[in-house]
Amino acid sequence: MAGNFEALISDARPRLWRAFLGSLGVQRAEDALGEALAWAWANPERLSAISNPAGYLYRVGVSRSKPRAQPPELPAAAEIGLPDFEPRLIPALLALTPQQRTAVWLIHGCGWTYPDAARAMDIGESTVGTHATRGLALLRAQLTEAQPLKESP
Amino acid sequence: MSKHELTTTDIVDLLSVYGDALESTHPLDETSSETTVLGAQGNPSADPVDLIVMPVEERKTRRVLATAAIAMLACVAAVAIWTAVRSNETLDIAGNLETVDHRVDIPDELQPFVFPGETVLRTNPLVVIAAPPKELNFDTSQLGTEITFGRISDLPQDELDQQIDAIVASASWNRFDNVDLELTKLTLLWHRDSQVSATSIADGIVSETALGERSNIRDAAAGTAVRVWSSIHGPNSRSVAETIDDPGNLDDLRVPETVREHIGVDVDGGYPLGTMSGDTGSVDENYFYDHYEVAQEVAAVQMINGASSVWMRPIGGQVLLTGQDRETQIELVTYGKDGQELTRHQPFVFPGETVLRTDPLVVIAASPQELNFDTSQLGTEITFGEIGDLPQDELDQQIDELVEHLSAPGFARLANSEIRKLTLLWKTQEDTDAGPHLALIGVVDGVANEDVAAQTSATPSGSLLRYELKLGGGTISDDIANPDEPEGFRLPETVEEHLEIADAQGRYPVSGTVSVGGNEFTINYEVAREVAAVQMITEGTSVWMRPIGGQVLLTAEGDQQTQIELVTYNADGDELTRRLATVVGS
Repeated sequence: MAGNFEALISDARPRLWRAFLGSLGVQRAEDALGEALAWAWANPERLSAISNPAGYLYRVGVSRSKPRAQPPELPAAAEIGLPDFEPRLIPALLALTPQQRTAVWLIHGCGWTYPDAARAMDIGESTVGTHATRGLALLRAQLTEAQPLKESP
Repeated sequence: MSKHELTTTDIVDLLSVYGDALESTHPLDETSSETTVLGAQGNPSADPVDLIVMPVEERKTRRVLATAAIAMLACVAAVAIWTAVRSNETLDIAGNLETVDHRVDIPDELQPFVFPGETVLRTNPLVVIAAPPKELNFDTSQLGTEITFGRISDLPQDELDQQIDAIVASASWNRFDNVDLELTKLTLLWHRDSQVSATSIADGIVSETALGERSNIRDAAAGTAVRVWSSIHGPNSRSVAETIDDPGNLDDLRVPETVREHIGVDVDGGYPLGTMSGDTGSVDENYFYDHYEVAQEVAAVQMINGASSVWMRPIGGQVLLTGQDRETQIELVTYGKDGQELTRHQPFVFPGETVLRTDPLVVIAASPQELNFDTSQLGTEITFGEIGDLPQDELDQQIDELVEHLSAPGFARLANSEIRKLTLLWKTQEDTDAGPHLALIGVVDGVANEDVAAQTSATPSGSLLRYELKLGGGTISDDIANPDEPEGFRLPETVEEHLEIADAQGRYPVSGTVSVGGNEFTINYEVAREVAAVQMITEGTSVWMRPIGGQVLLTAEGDQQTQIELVTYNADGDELTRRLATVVGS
């Protein structure tokens, strides 16, 4: 049992960390991960019986960590070593509704499956799909705007 | 200036790259791999077999949490006092299950059946008061008269207990269905004249074969899972029930979160059609009640009945609307808490159609009929892909692009028309210079906002146009009379009816719009609902197709002046119509 639980936590920790970083911001992500794992340590049997532990722990982390800023603050791409990155992506991501932002981040930023994301957000899979699709469409609309022509060298 | 186009794939890639960079610049503390051993539940004396391993990082977190525990205990005490006063409020702590406001303790096995906001009164069987209605953040005066019932929590405790006892103990409390239920969950909604049983939902297992006289659980065998809605009818109660798959399955008990989800789970397309889920309404002379089931995001439901309008705040996903003169067509509109319209009962949605969106109305046409005859005599069957096979996100994207395209100012064929309804028929792959391209084939009904010089006729502003999306483009078939009447859209049931319409509008049996390119022509042919197969015979060849949404799209070799013979059949293979025509399209 202990081995299974350890493996479960080892698998969930990095997934949760990335999910929290993008959806809650850097500051709150630490709290959320700590809260989620503290709950896991206290409820190993219950967690082992849950079909999607990472999704459930995500919800625990979100509901037990204290909100810091709405929307969360994410570092500019240049600050994390991406100088040539599309500068409007992160502001556009932060401008989405919380549900859209979370769905887009979990599915497309973290590679979570729809069932995983649905469990994490406590909504249906089709609803997650709708949020993710609308979120992506809004991002695309925000990013597909007129750009000044670059002069030829 | 130029357009800088980013595809969805580009954005997904960017998100992934940003996520990688974010993670690499904010790594998990690797020292957390240093571990220590604690007993299960933190008990050092636990059996070694149950030992668990905890990283240092989490031990630190637990110490911090322990320090905070005193403050948390104070908060919990405050919450307990507060909730004791406000017994209908709940607090969701760690997910969806850990409500803290109950009048009783909830065993673990029942936790999943208690949804956020519900107040638990009993656990054997589970009896709850539904979550209270949402607060509304908009001016509701436009909605008409609000219908309200008494709140369950306002009833004196002894009276409430007595009524619950009566419901639970009654062997056949649902007198119309004469069903004896082993209750899984009883959800109380409102009370009316102190009658609780009249407005509740019972989920359970039929103990003995039901002998219902007029519901769809008639003759349901023992062991069948059912949901019983108790409605009200004058001074008496009546109930309607339906079978559910499994009361132990949360998804069968949970109210769908969103309208979209609700539409998706209703396989009969009963919502938002207005074919009430739960109760089809009862009529007592000129007074009736309608039970309407809605998604959680719906905060208000309005029923427009002729000149009158009433509305209600849903509770437990239910509204119970009253009105007069059932002959008048009812329009049902649902709103979110901020007043945004979510659904509108659409008289323009027809049986078998699947509603995908309501603004504008987008539906998948009813499926083709099953054929009960040997079709080998008809030649080669022409088929396209089914819309329902598309992944949801791809379908959403396609519809977005289609609606945007059709709504674009200056779109020549529709001349800035307002889309009234988009009926999707099939999907297909078109070969383009850029490679295979997914295309949706359908019919667009739109109202012209300005005068249109269409292919077939000059159409004045305000006319409703039917535009057929097909391979490689589309065609305006004709204007439709009475764009505000469902009859203008409705598919004629029979060939005879269709012919009568043809007399008035000239669309049938010619109806087909033909395009000719090279040595190939394509014909859209519109048929009545009873037509189950259409055969097109040209010189030496025969192709056929099953209509969907009253449409077939037949392609064959030939050119202008090619003679074709179009034959329609019903599902049993009986020939309904036969017509000789000459290809004269453009």
